[in-house]
Amino acid sequence: MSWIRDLVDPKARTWEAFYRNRWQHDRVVRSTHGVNCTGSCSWMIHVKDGIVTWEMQATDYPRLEAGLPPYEPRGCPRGITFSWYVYSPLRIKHPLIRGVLLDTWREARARNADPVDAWAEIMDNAESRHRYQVARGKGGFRRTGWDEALEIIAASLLYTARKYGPDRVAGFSPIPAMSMVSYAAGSRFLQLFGAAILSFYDLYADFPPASPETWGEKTDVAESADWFNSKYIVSTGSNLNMTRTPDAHFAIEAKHHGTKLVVLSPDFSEVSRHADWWIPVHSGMDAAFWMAVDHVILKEFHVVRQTPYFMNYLKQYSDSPFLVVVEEAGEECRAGRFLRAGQLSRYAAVENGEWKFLVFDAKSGEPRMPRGAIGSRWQSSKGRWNLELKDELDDAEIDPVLSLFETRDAELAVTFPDFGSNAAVRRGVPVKYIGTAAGRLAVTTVYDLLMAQYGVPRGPAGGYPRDYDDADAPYTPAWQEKFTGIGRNTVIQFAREFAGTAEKTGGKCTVLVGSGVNHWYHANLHYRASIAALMLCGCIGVNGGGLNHYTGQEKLVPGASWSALAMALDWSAPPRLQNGPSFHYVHSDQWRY
Amino acid sequence: MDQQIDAVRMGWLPFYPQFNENPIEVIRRAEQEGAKTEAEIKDWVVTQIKNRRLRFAVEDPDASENWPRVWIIWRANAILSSAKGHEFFLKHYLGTHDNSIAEEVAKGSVQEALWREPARKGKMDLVVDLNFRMDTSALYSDIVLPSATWYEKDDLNTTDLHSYIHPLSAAVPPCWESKTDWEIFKALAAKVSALSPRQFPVPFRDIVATPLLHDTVDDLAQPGVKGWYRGECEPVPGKTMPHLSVVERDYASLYHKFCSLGPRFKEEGVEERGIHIPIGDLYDRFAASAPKYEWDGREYPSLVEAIDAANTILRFGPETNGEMAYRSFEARERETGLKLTDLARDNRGIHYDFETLKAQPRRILTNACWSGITNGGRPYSSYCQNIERLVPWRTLTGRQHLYLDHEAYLAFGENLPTFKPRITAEASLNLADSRAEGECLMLNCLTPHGKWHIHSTYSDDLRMLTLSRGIEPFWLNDKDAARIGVRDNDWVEAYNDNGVIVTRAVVSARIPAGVSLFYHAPERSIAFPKSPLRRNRRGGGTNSVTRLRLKPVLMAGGYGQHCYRFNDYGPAASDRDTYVLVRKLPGKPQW
Repeated sequence: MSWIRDLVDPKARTWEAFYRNRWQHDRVVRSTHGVNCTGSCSWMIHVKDGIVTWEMQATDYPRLEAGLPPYEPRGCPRGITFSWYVYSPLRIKHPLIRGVLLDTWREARARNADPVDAWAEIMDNAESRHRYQVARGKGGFRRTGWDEALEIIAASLLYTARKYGPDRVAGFSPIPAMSMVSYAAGSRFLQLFGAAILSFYDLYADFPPASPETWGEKTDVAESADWFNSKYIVSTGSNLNMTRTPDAHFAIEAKHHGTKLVVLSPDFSEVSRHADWWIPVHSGMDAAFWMAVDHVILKEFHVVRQTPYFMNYLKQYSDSPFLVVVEEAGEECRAGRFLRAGQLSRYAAVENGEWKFLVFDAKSGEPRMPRGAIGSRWQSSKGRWNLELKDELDDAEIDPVLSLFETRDAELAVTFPDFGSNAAVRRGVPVKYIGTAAGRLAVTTVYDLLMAQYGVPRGPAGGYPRDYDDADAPYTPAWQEKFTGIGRNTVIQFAREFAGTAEKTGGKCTVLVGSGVNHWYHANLHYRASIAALMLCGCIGVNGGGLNHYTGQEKLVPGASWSALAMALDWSAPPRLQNGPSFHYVHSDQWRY
Repeated sequence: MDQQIDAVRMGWLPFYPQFNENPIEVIRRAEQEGAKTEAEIKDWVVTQIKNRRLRFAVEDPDASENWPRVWIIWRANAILSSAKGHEFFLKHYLGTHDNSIAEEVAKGSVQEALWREPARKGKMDLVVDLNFRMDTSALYSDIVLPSATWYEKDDLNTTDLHSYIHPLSAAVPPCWESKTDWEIFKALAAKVSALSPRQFPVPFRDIVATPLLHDTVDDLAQPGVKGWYRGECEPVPGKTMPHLSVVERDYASLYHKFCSLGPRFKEEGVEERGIHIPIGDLYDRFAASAPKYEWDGREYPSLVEAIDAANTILRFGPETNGEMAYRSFEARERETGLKLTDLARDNRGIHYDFETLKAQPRRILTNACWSGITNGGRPYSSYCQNIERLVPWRTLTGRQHLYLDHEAYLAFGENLPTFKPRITAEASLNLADSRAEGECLMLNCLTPHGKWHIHSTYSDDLRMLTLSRGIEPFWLNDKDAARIGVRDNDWVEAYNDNGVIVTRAVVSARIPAGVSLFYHAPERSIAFPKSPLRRNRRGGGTNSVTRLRLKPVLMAGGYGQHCYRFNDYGPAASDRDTYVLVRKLPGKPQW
């Protein structure tokens, strides 16, 4: 009847005792939630009399450099409810086994001294196997003890290894970064056994194939504090305020600091609400938007006016100046493979000449082989694998030519597929002819191919769009309208702001991208089109720039020592590691449908 | 499927089971026919493969000897929220009821895989789930083992979004009969070792096939695409086909091995992204002070406790031990000829152990296994080492690639950045066998990440259910909804050939027309009513309407950056090119 006392004597405030008791604790321990939210927030867990009572955000992250807002507090409404689970009715308290299987097992076990023989007896009987399989998902669990549960599992493992092989055992656990020792527990056991472990990143459609395509790297992105360094943030397929709860404040703080926040999203999402500019691109059509953006950037910042920062960046840090063979097959010309250094007499004797590539050098007026190719990485004499613009043969300085347009021997009409309209376009590409071991070859640069692919005219050559308003010619601002539902002027303005900001800030434009784009079948193309915009403007590898792909807690640190332990490499190698999508596509028979 | 099979034969992608025969038996047969050394066994296996006396399991996936048999799931929700094509998992893995009505169409069009009738149901003999909550995967498993929650164990945690490493630690011991994952697998290892002497009385050898790997010399394996199985070249392991290795296993000592840090660790050092860091002297110093585990007359650093594992990881990680960071740059200097160790000089004396992290989160150290520079409180941004210190990217030219000249990319027209529209409903085959029932609407079904849960976790949490609608609703545009007579909070049935979802609608103008959002991912333990369209069987979740479709060009391998690495490369799944028909649920929902 304490409420009566509160009425009689409100000044005693006895009702407060409830709250004091609720938040009492005698111990505080640091932990977090291994849920692949990517937040990785540090939490303080409060314990009273051995019972977890509540959790609160930790606020002791070491500060980064001066001028950046702090990380703390991190945490979200989901995380702060976790303590409910610990004592909830959903909690699994004891080993459980489906009754049908338990009865079958106990009968078989009674007849067999060796548990493996008992398991074999169940497996050999199609009817008993079917009986418990069809009961899956239909309840009927019974409590068992650890010893019995582990005995069944161990018996099934040994039976499977003996009869079919250890590689018929599969293990699945995702995202080691969220609790890497727990992941390692299972993977270490399974690798010692010889089982296969299934991947998750690609199965979840979270892995961005464009990352290894472009950088040879699965995913490498900026931490959220670096968003603050950006001057132009494009959020696409990433609902920052909803799914990046503890990090979104950096985007808002950047806005307060003068950064423009542009959001590409088909729906009016939580991050759209915070945008300076919301561009509702039709879902799954992002690449069309970006291709047109790239078109405008190339035209205005590379052709009409050659932006020195952008050009120098491409020369040193991209494959733009590298030579590609234009293959002439009958009437058709197509862009082919990189010209190999080993095909030139000058480089015929170099090691791994098939894996080293050429640029056209303005200094010597000849094709030259810069350092840094993959053939230099894996050759016997080490120490030449770097990005210095020097000829690997004689260390002479190289000044790579981005375009052969000025010095071209000829212009070939090259065919480019146009998947938007299921057709093809033919566009003039400047080439030079080079004598090689395979005869005289027409070569051009990646940069020249880009100009042609994007339809950026530089001379009289045929097949190019008239102007931005040519709606039939890929990839003009007008062309993209029918796919994205976005007006051409929006694209043009966006491209000018994006590239203009990059020019003024030395590349401080970033694209924050996530599963809203990456979960599409052609995700790699959506990504590559936006990566091209970043690369053409020198935005990669600078603070405040980059393609920052966030879909999950993929960054496992420290990977080197962890993988040795987790894959049991301290005992044997190689481990059996299986890509999940292929495994399930084949084994769950989805290939048949 | 044909490209998938070719990708396995050429060593582009891994595939397990490997062969249509027990790999232990393969070695036994090789030995019987006179092969003794590892090289002789490998030669013998290559000849068998070449003569087609030994086949890759992927060529005949429905043969009973080629099924996966035991599936162990931990820290995962493998059967619903992670299972693209969930209903096919139910049918073919589990052999229980499902809601797919899709007809098989691959017969005749797939050339390289043997077609068996009928498709096999119930391939998995045993499905084991370690879990702290009764989620959908637990509901479908045969055995559920109670695991510790994140407040009951010692572990480590990192992310892309900040640059700190910090711990999980046990605020209380595991409740009821639950155990940490480390203790569970240790106990299972002990059981396997105890039961093994009758089945595997002596150590045995196992032949392991692995794909061509990125950041190894395999980057140079295949200048062009040639199939040995088409007679275009010879089958050479590690060059034109998968690597083959002979691995010795001893199940009787599996438990001891689990508990001790083995000798290869010191001999081989550690590796990431092709950077090998030697650790010999550091290992000796570590071993002198670390807890010991002794077996078979030898002493090893102990891994008996999870905290031992955590401290081993921290001690030899270049991100958590400054000396290791320094050595990672030394290794990179040898490769590149550049001066780089200055990036790690000032941190050389720093080392974090588990207790350090419990006291306060710590920033990861600048090292050569990653591309950012974080010294002096600078925020991590990728590829700064490449730009500022001229370290190459691990690609063909060493530069960032706008152009991809692998033959597969040329063939698929993806050598340059380009645009391919989203897959149409017809091409998706999502609706080939589904018919419009009454007032019905076709919508693109998107499954983004939601507000009231993280994946499926918290979706069944009473506190979050109280804050949200208490159900995972189906969002659609107001005008679309009006066309089929659906008002906000009405029950709807969304279905396609793969499966069906029954839930309440949220009608909102914030969703564009033609699109629906069904946030990833609900649990079968909360609000899954029955579907009249599927004979009153219970509806499904997010992945009930999805199906795996692999993009063949992404299987390309054996060539520069187009080389496999676990979780880092290969054909990614996709789920957004999914289409459903939606109608108002007739009558009241049936439970």
